[in-house]
Formats: sequence, structure tokens, C-alpha cells
Amino acid sequence: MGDITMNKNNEFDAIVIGSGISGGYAAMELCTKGYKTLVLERGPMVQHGDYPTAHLDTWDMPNQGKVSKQEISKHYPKQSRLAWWVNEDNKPFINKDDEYPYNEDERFDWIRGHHVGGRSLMWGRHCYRWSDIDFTANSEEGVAVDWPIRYADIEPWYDYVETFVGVAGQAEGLKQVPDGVFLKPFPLNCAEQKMREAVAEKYPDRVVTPGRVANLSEYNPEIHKGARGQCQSRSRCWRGCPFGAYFSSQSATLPVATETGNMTLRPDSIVMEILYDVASGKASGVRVKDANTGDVIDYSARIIFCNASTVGTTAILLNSRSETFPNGLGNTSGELGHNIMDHHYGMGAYGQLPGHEDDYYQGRKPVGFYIPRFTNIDEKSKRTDYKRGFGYQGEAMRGKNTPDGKIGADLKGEIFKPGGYHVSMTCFGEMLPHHDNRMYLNFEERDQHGLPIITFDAKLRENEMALREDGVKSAVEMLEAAGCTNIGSYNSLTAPGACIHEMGTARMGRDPQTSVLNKWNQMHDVPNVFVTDGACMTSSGTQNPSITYMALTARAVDYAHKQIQAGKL
Amino acid sequence: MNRREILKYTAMLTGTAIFAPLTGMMLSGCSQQVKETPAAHSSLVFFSSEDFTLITHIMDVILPKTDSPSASEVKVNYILDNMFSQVYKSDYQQKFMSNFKQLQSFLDSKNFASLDRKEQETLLLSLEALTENQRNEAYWAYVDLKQQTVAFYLSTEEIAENHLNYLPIPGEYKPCVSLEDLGGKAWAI
Repeated sequence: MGDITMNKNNEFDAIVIGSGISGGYAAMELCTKGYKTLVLERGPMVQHGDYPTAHLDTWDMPNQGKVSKQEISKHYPKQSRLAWWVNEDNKPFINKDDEYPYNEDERFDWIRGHHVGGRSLMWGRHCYRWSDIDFTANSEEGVAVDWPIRYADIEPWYDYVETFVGVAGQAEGLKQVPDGVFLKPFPLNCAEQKMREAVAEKYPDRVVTPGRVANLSEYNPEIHKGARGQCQSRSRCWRGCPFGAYFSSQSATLPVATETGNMTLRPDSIVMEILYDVASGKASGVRVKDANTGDVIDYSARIIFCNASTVGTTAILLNSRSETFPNGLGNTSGELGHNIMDHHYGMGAYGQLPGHEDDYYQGRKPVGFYIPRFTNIDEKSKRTDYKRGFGYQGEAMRGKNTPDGKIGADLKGEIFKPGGYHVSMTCFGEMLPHHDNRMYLNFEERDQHGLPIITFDAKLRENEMALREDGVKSAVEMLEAAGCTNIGSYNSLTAPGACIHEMGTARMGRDPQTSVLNKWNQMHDVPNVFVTDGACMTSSGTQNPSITYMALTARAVDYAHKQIQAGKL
Repeated sequence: MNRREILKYTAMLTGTAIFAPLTGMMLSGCSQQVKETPAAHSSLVFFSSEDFTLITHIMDVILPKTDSPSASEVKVNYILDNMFSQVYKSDYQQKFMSNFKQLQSFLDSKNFASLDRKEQETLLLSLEALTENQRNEAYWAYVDLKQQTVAFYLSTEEIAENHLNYLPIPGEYKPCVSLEDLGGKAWAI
């Protein structure tokens, strides 16, 4: 890792803002191509292996692993809106709300972790390719603007990143989630396999497949470089993995970038704004505030990659105001901050699955099953009540065994046995881009660093509501088909942000008048600034988005490199 | 609240019956309030000494000492006291305490403390046997206590490591194995 003090002129070939899943990828790609790269992370350093709860069992933690009410109330009132999110085991990587204020015109659950590696440490790790069903949807339906790319543009880059990331999954030949470069899957257990077969019989278009997940079911040190290792089936991924078995910036991209000798990683570095040079028509660098000392420092570079997360990147761009760009860097379209999307959930079904009393599983796999979208993918599956679709994540597990009508020694004879299989599945729906769904900066109010307060004004709308009804109904249908009993369902609306898939605030498009980025994730207005985090997305799809951010990042770095080599950048 | 709901609720509180993050999703939207409750006993943080004595007694009838420890021997009673104080929300605290008072009255009226162990078991089982339209607050308090007693008992180090299959680093995931080959016992974690 380069030493910041060695570079007296604060000049670099490239600057990457953010060290999370896309920032780490940008850093690695730039460094391996030989660019002296400064990686700026606003949060503190987290070294690989610095995972304080990785080996703790429930009894090693206070309150059965739950965070006390007092602590929640003081530090996590917003982060804990997701009742499942703030726990003792992953708490080290969750932002304290009292240190990171934001405002809401409409409720927005902005779930964050500011530290080196960002949310790549706590992500859900599901990796599904987008298809042309997604890339053409806006155009075909006349929604928002057309994506400037198609599947053929990104396909080789999916191959490229999946190979390095290591995605365990099962090929299914589905057009809506194309097969990728897969390691062997974490297979369905007996009950899940039964469900797959029963659902397929009744609903041939609904496929219960092992979740495609960035955990190394097969470790190959020649390919999985960095600090990677074989998955040990502990399912404690969000605490940080001491085995490096899932993909994170710490385990994969940052160590590879470090090894090149080209990376300078600077934690505790809050990017205030990107500096614009009128003469060249390009960004000249970034202005940084040291989170500890308060010192303000300018760094310059030939190209800048924005990977501070959808909201973080957009806030920096909106705060980068100049005479040329009074409303934020690269914002002549006026779309910067608009069209914010997420996925929505809080809906699904659960039930008991009788049978398989003698079948059990060994190990805690890091993923359950996935059911890809099956509506509006062709003429046959066309819906009149909503656009787009939804997918499911779920699992079958044996629960605790606490039978009725037993007590004392009789009960003790039962409780050490596993209970029956339960199936639970959660539905994740697409959210349409809408100009009125936005984030903006409140310049009248400032945080402790003097930065304007990020404010959200977005909500789910009619299409999302209609889609949810079918998502819940279809979940129940599948549990019934599988032979489940005591089936229950729920439809409890989540706020935007709650799925932690926020995206879309600096969208890609073909027309500079209606979009911020071109088909190379390059700003229409400022050619040496690239945005390759979730801000770039033109629609939300139903798939978990991180692998797409990584593919777009690698593609954009390749493009920037070729432009530089050709003397055009 | 029906029976399935209370089981689901207990599962959420203890995070045991189904995958914790997924059950948590069902809970999204719950509000939280902090309510300080003065300690009635130096080591107790929520229950009064009198209530705690009865809770401990009930827990040890549910899970007595056999070739494995009783509930109170692995401090399940103190785990519950701590969870009520530190984690459970005030609306649930109040609901439970109101149900528990009814359970207390019921047991007092049957001279629970002076019964022998077999009679105590029979009395508590009579609550479980109530049909759906007979189920009263005492029933809910008892069923809730039973669920939590078992869940927290199984989550103690002593029980998890010595009486269940404890495998902190499993290695390869095997989707279908024979329960018999595992001694018929559940995974601890």
C-alpha cells in the first residue's frame, strides 16, 4: 500500500471514491492496469480478519445476540427499522444514526456501514445476471428512459467478474436470469428439493433453484486471488469471514490492488466535492476533509471513479457546485438525485412441510433457495394488473421441537431432537423509476462536517402495490403445491431503502438531456468522471444488483483505459 | 392472538424456529419504546423476587433436572429476566405481565407450590389441554413461558455443547444426511 506522505503533490493517475463492492473493484482494475490510484474511504480502516464477532456463539454475546433497547434507541433508531438488521454480531459494521444524520420528507430507510469495505462486508451475496428482459423494459413500456446497453454489452463482463468473485450456483437455462460462470451450488436440502419438484409439477415456469451466491464452494487460489478460502458453511458471513470465503473488498479486491504497489488507501477521508476545471472541461480532482483532524486537502487525478454508494456518490455530485454546474456536477439534465429506486419486500409466506423426519442436513449453508421472476417475461406470462415482476429468496429448515402436551422428563426427551421442516420465502419486487422519487441536499442544514443534509422524498407507488398482491398470492400457491400445512402469509409494506438496494440517482441513458451517464458509465458532461455504483442504474430489475455494479465497473475501467491509451482522455 | 401467532411471535423473539433474518422481515414496522423498570432484587433487572420465584419454579417443572441440567441450573430464569429488561418492548412486557398475573392467580388457587412434582406437571398440562375457545390469559402466559424456556435452554453453552450436535466449523455442506447417524439430535447452531 502506498504511503500518502510520499506523494507531496497529491497527484494520482486515478481517484476512486469509496472502497465498497464497486469501489474495491474499480481500485483493483485500475491498479492492475498500472494506474497510481488513490482510494478514499470516509469511514475507518477495517483490515481483513478484523472481525470481532466472527467466532462468537449466542451464549458469548449479551442478550442472546440482540442489541439492547437502550442502545438501539440511542444509536440505531433508523438502522433498526429493519427489525432483522441490527444485531450484536454485525453491529460493528453498522453506522450509528446519531453520527450520520439524514432527513426524510417521506420515510426512507438508509441502511449503511461506513468503513473500509463498506457494505461488501455485510452484503447478502446473491448474484443474478440481468437479461434483456430488464434492459429493454423501460423502452418497451415507455417508462423513464431506455438503457443505453443490452445484455450483449455486459455479458462478457459478467463472465469476467463472476470468475474472480466466485459464484456458487446452478445452471437452469432461464432467459430472465441467464446462467453465469458458476462454482458448484450449495445444494437444496431434502425438503427444498421436494419443494422444487412439487412446484415444477404444478407451475412449470416457477423454478426453485439454489441461491446464486458469492461464497467459495470451491476454492481455486489461481483464480480466487487475495485473501480467499474455502467456505466452511458457518453462515456467519455478515460478521466478516476470517476464512475469506465470501467476496468482499477486504478478502478479494483490496489485497489484489495492494499487491500491485499502485494503491494508496486513505480511510477517514470524507470527500466534500469533486473540483471542476473550466479550462479543460474536466474534473481536476477532489476536496477531502480528514474525519479525525478536520484538515481539508485537495487531490488531483486524471480520472475519477465515483463508488461512494448510490446516495453517497449522488450527494458528492450534488455538492460539487460551480459556475458551469450550479446544480451539481454533470447535472445539466436535472436528473441527478431523481429516479431513486430500491427493491421492496416485507411480503411472503411460510408454512410447515410434513415428512422427511429422518432427513437432516449438516452445516449451515450461506444461502437458501431462489425463485426467479416468472411474470411478464413473455407473452404467456403477461400481466394486465402490473408491470415487471418479483422473485423470492427462501429456505427450508428444521426448527426447534417443543411439542404440545408434554412436560418435565417427557418434554426433555423431545427437545434435543430437531423439529419438523419449516419453509419460509420472502418476495422481492421491482420498483419502477419515477422522476418524483428523489434525494436532494438541504443546504440550510449541515452535519458535523459542514456538509448539507441528505434528504429523501420517495415512495412506493401503484405498480409496486399491485405487484405485491400477486407476489404474496403466488408464494402461498407454491407452498400449497409443495404440500405445506399451517401456511401463513404477510404483506407489510417496506419503505424505500429497506431492501438496501438503493439505486438510480445518476442514471445511464442515451440522451444527455435526460440522463447523467452514457453507456460507459461516463458523465455526459464531464468525460473524466465515471459513476459505477448503484447510482448508474436506469431501472431496478428484480435481481440483487451488486454483481451488475461490479461488471459495469470492470467494463468502465477497461473503456477508460482504452480511451487514455488512445489519447482521448 | 391465536396459537399460531404466539408461536410465531415467540420464534421471532428467540430467533429460533425459522431463519432469524427472514422472521425479522415479518416484524418490520414494529415500533420500539424504552421503559426502565426498577430492580426489585439486586441481581434481578425486571421481575420482582416473588414473580421470579414462581417463574423459576414453573421453568423447572417444564425442564427438571434429569441426566441433563434443569432450566434454572443453566440460568434460563436469569436469561428471561435480562431479555425482558434489555430487549423486549414495553407493549410486550405489559401484555406478558398481565397474562402472568392471571397465571399466578390460577396457580395460587390450585395451591401449586404445595403440590408434588407430578401434580404440578398435571396442573400445567391441564392448561395446555384447553381447547381453542377456553384459552385464557393464564394459558397464554404458560405457553409463552414454555416456548421461551425451551428456546433459551437450548441456547446455553452447557446444553448446546453437551446435549446437542455442536459443530462450529462444519466445513462442507451436506444437504441430506441421516438424523439417526447424528444420534437423533438437533444442531446446536
